[in-house]
Amino acid sequence: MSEQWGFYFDPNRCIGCHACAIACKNRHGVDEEGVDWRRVEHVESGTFPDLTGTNISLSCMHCADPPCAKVCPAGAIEKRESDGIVTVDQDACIGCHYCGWACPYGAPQYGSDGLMQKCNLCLDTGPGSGVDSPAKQDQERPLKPACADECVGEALHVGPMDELMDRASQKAAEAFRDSDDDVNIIVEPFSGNADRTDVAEEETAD
Amino acid sequence: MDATGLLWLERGHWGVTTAVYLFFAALGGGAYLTGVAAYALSETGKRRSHVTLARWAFLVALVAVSIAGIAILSHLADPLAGLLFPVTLTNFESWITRGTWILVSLGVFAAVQTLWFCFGELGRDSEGGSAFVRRIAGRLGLDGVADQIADRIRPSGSGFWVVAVLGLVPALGTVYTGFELAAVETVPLWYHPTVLPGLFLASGVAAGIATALALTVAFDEANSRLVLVFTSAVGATLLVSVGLLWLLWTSLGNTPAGIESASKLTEGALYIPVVVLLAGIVVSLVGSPLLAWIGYVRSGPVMTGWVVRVSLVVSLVVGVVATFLIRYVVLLAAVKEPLVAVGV
Ligand code: SF4
Ligand code: SF4
Repeated sequence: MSEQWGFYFDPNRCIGCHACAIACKNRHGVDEEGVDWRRVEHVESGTFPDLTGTNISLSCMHCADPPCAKVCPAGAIEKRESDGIVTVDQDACIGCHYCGWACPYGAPQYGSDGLMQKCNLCLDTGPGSGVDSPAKQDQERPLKPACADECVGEALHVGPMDELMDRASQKAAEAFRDSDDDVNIIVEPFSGNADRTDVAEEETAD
Repeated sequence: MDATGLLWLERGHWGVTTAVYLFFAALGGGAYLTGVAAYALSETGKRRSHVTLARWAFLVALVAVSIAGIAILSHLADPLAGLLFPVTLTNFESWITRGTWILVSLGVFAAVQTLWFCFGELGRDSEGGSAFVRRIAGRLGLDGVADQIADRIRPSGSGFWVVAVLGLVPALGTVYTGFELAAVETVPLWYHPTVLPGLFLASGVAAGIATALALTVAFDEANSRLVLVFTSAVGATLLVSVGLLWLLWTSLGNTPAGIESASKLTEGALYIPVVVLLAGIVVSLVGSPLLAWIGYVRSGPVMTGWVVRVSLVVSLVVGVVATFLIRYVVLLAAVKEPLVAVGV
């Protein structure tokens, strides 16, 4: 793999505003309900009053060895050698939804046409786009992924994984390196409650 | 609010249509197997009731494969691409690609055997219910042509057996229906690469034998001994299915999705199908061989007594329904392993 693109996410900075999810929908013209290339979930644990909650912004992780591609009968899903981005060719997709079962992260989405669509790291815009795009790093004017661009708390970043590692804390970098999962996302350890309006205020003040 | 620190994922990718597809594909394999076995016991076609069972079995295999094909095509967003599978399905690592080839090959073998058993040497003198295809062809004036084609393409002696045995490869290959689900690592109910394929194969064979046998007993003169032998095979394959169901249940595990699947199977909407499934298997497993035995003891070589015959048909049909419900509940109780939120 000449380069591997992916994500960096800091749940401590995420305020759960859904701006990333909405920006993604707008960028790719995906307005169908229930079709979310990126979504934000609030996850809680414990019992009242000792509840801890965190926000998670989730999309395709552009896995190193994607299980979705393995099960796809039509060979419509490709792990690109050039930039490690996993794309889906909707002209080849037959809409069997097998990839929906195989993906451990719920990334494949199906619109009313029944064909698979998902995050393409903004290689291009629209469902199924980006298949023939040049490598992200070789594009003349690459699109800055809308999710990261619009993130209010600067919780989400996109780039080549080695560059994202420079941003990561030691703990997050180690966790990423030691992880058995072959997903391309670095996640900062969560250190408190997710009521982080302070981060938003901080960012707005900047 | 779920306060477990887990993020549950959507799982409604497949529904009843897929259960129908998985069921009929395996039933088709079981029926083909029944046809070959019945003919093997027929002393090269001399025992008419064996040939009748084989004729029904190959017909059932052909119809089942066709239904499976229609079900899978209707489930696809692009059915035309499904029809063009030799060009469109290029990833042989996928069980859908492998399965499509298996299903289509089985369909070809079942069609050829149906032609040979309904027309030509083995079909010409057929009578009773199993001759209905012949009668329809006769009404359309096509029986003569079909007889000629059947005789011309039917190899003699060992050639016939080579074709019959080659057809067993895709028939047993319908085990793929289990692998299709067992390949999904995210669903603990499915991720049993030996148990689930074994369960789908055993219950598919049971369904195939039971369907062909029920049609034979209902519409034709049935040889009591033949019925006894094949109902015993239904009982044996259902028994294996029960064992494998038990293994599947006990190996569900204590993961969140495993626990969730277990509660789906024992509570709520799937509770009644599960009860019907289990009751159906027990009724058919015990009832079918028992009724066949009663018929064998009471009748002469040909099974008589409408009460026994009707009860036997009902018992076999109940078994077939139960084997469909296995796929239905296994599909609808599937839960994907949730994500664990880091640090929560
Ligand atoms: S996250 Fe899911 S859709 Fe994305 S590459 Fe991995 S398996 Fe495929
Ligand atoms: S839905 Fe499309 S992309 Fe997904 S496995 Fe089926 S053919 Fe492949």
